[in-house]
Amino acid sequence: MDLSSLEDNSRNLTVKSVIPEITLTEPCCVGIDEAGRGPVLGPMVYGICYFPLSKSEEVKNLGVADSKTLTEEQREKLFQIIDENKDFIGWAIDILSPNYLSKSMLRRTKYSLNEISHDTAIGLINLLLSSGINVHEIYVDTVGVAEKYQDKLQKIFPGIKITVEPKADAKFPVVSAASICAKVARDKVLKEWKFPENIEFSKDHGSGYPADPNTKKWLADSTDKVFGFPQLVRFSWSTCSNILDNKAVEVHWDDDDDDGDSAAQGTASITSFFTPKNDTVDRQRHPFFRDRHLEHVDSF
Amino acid sequence: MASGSVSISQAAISSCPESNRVHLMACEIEHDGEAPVSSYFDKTVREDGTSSGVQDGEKALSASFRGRDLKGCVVNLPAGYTGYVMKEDKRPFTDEEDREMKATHKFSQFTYWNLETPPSNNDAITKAMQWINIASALHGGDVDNQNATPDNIR
Repeated sequence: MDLSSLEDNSRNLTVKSVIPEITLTEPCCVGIDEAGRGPVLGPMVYGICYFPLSKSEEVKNLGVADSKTLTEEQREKLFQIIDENKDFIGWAIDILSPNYLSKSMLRRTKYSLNEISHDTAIGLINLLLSSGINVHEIYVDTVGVAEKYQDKLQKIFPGIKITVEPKADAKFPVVSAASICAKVARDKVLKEWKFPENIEFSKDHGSGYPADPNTKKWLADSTDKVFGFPQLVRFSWSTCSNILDNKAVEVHWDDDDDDGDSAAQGTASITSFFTPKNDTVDRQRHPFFRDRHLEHVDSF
Repeated sequence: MASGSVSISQAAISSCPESNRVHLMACEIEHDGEAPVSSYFDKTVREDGTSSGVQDGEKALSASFRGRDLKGCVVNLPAGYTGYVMKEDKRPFTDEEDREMKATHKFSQFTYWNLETPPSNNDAITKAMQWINIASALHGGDVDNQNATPDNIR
């Protein structure tokens, strides 16, 4: 898999195979799966794979299986097999950078991982449709409640048979193939990660899952007290905020108290109406100056 | 109210090096001292299309700090003004003591950052800069704005 176009690893990237001509005419099945949803390190990768329904048996015989049950080597080999059959199997992947995930999930109006997942899947389906691929059936490994997700997709893509199921990557070869593409890409990005920071970080970051002691140790060792972590890390994971609470200086944002009890503060207590009014009114400066945060200063 | 005087070292004002990497952050960081800005923060800065509050010749920028999305732009100081980064070697214990400040860097531009909101002419910092022109119109009489200096607009 050629990911050389990923020069800036803080950005998202879509990579796709050559579109097999047969998929433009023959009815195709499509599978969607993700890799790297749970880890605190590296990108989350969405994979989509498609081939003509008439080739289903042939693909099954290629030996594709759920990427989680395979070793890294087996996945690499199966991806090669997928690539060798490019005359009828097509694929595309969407790499969502850890920087993008952090920024989205920590936004003022939170953009949850489930919403990101749904929107990415929808984006990939649209990519196939706009390329003219004859999509008849779509199989998706579920994110969130399967029925709701299926309804959502079915409303957006009426006329296509959509199946959303848990563990779809083990049940449908087309989803297994998608999961292999996604996992191979994620492994490759993580393995070849070039830290944009001019700092030597250890490569010994373990699996990237928050429960992995190696990952935990790596996070703790790679903390900067001002900036927190390098951009490989998803700041939005609670593992990260816990480490920063202990090892980094505090940072205050103006939306920190957004979900605090501002309503309670706005309510004056009943007794306050009976206390004598303070006659010396605080003279405020003209709004012109207040808008500009300009004040008289006579000492530093 | 402080009654000690504050003196500013004149030698440092003229001799301190120029820096064009001054960032006005959108958050309060409880840290006073050195930080590896060029290794971390500078590496996240990208050009980010156009925006209304951006000065002519400058570009809208995006960056990230602690995983949060920042939008900003470079602000050039008005003609005749220079910015200084001041440092106090000894903190005073009381209000009465005399204090001495030293310039460590000077700057003619800085980058300001908003949390997620693209820079606009409505930002307090952009509007605050207007005061310089307004003050000269109010108090400065007939001043040539192009060649304004802090002295002739006072």
